Amino acid sequence: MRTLWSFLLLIALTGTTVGQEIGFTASVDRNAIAAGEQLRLTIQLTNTRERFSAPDMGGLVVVAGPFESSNFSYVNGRMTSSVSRTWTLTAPQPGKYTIGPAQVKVGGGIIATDPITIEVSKGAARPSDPYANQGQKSDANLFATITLSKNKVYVGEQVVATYTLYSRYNNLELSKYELPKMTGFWAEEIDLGENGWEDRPRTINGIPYNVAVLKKQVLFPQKSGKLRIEPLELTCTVNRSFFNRGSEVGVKSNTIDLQVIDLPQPAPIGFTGAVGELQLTGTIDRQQVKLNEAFQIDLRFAGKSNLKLLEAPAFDVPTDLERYDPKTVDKISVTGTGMSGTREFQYLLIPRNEGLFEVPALELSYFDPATGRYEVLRAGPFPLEVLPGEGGRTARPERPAQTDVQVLGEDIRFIHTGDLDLRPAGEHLFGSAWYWAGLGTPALAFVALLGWRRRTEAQRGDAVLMRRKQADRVAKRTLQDAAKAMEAGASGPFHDAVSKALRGYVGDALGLGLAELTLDRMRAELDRGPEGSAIAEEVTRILGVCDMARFAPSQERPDPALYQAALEVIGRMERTLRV
Amino acid sequence: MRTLSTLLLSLVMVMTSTASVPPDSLNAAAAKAYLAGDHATALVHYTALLEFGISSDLYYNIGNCHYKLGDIALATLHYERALKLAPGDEDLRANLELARARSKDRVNELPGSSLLAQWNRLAGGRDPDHWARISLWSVSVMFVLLAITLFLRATKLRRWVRIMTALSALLAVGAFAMASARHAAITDNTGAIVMVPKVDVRSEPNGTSTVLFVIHKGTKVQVLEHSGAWVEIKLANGTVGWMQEEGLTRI
Repeated sequence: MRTLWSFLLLIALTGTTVGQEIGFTASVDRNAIAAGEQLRLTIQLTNTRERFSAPDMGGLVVVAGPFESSNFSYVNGRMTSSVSRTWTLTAPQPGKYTIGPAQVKVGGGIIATDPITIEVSKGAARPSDPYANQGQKSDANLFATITLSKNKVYVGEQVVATYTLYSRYNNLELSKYELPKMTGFWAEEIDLGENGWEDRPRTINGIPYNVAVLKKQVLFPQKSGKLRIEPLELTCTVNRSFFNRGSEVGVKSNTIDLQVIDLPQPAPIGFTGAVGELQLTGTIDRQQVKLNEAFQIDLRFAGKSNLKLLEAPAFDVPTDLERYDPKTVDKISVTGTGMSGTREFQYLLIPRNEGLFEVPALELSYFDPATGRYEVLRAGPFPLEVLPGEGGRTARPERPAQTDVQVLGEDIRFIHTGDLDLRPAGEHLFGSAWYWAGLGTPALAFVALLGWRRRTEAQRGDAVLMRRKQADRVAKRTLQDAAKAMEAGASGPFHDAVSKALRGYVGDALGLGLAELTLDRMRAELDRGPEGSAIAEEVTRILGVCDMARFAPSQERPDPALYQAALEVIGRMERTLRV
Repeated sequence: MRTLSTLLLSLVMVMTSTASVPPDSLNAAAAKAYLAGDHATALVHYTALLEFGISSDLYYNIGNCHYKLGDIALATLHYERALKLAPGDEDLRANLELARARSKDRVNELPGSSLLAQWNRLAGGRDPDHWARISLWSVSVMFVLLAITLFLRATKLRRWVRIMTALSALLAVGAFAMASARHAAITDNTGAIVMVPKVDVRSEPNGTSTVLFVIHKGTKVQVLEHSGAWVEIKLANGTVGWMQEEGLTRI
């Protein structure tokens, strides 16, 4: 039974090989590519020599081909032959493409290959190079291009520049090259690792080229306007071999203009100059710290931006905290997509006083070119409690070291907010009519007062005062009569006049009636020391002499000495009473 | 430029509204705006207050607004105007000092003039009519005392009143002299501030004579003499020269 099965199997196997089966297959080397990339389609027909037509490429573009090859093999008395045709295809646009079936007529029947679906994705692994056409025109065998990842950027926004060399020579050596001078840019090299030719050739207008990316740079434009990148110039030696010294070929790439737009003005307060995408995290390493013990605040900027140009932000801390210059810790990488990573500023602070503090919040901003707006970054505030240090105050009983009040800033003093006390311009109290009136009024009032007083005195008939005031004048007038009598030599009238003048004066001056003119009374009224007493005695004496002469006319002639004495005593009395 | 246009705009608005706004509320609004950091609006309000009258405080506040807005020359001008009215204002002196320090030219004053300034500061006070009022009061007191002596009989008291009268008379004369000096200082308009960025000061009142020195915006000068569009000026350090009058604004 077992032998029978083996025999039958053998028969069946032999039958298939003897039948010379015809194969017809279509295959691609990969069925997912990016737009612009190439794929290879191979259609193979085995064991027949019939002609077959090209399939419908379904929108894919034939870059090269078909290349035909045939193959014969003779193994163990069995002959196999195959014919294959190969196309190189590419897809200009992303999408789904279907390569239709290829057909062949074999002995009355038709056999067909299966259709093949190709996925073409957008993410171009290789950037399309808009300057390649231009370069190709200048030299179809060897050219170089400079491309930028963007043509229009903001000041400070990063842009990647790629320097590419295209060659159709088999053997090429770069003998020297000069990088274009960058004016108005801050440039950062991208590390490309092992520089070399790309695995696959790139096809420009149907011509395949070997491509090498010479260099990549991240550029940060520093000023606005049209910035020009000068061409890359290089010299290559081509076709050098053992037999051939080769020849030198000069290559000059395209120039390229970059449109740089100014950042919108005005920039907000706290703008760091950063352009791109940023995040800020602020951390304090502890909430409680002992006096004179260091603690740390970290400000960490992360994102895609010109991080290497980022400076430590002006970071205000309370004056009782001593701040040291920050330490900068970078984790920045520069790749084909630009500069990204983190930059961290580590501030070391030491509290010099106890208490509750708050390091105020830090507010910064950066410009986001994607939104075209300034975005705000915030960190903090950081509350902090400073506890007494080791040993605290007991260890240091002495008074704390005093420092002068620190002048932190200078500014004008504040406005006067009270009543402004406005007055019309050019109007002054001094020199105005009011002023002169103010000066004159008291003087006038005083004069008026004097006048009023004199009048009321007269009206009131203050006889005593009037007598007192006029005593001197009346006495002098009477004495003039005495002087006349003296010249005439009339003794009686002379003594009469002297007596009358003196009595009248003393009476008027002291406010006494004629009957009151006694020595004692006069003494009492004139009692102002020895002077008054002497005057009183003199008056009494003169009056006595006069009375004697009047009633007992002993003397023939008037005595001038008596007249003089009377004048004198009136003068003395006048002075005494005036004081 | 933006501040200027908002300033003009709000100036127009204030102009149209001053008729109905009382000065007290204008003053309050200005102080509020100043405190909020809106110095342009504060300036507009204070400038509108000039319609109602002047005072050293108002000039001082206007000066502060100009200082905060960065116009040091205008700030100096208004501080100097305030100083004329109130030479004894400490805040004003401090701010004027800062404004002078921020202007371009440093002019050292003559040694005598600082002593004079010191005296002005002591005697001038904050009120322009101070001495005029004192002179009025002392004259009144003198005459009242004179009137009292008329009615006094007691000789001893009368002697005291006479001494007081003599003292008040002395005070009246002194105060009158001070008031007249202050009046002369306030009405003096020879002081001026340079309001153009740069001025060549020449030896003669024409454009071809030797340039003696150059002064800049914000510098204070004293105008001595006129000759057409030219004025002879004197700096605080005593230097004299001729410049065109259009570059100056009188204090």
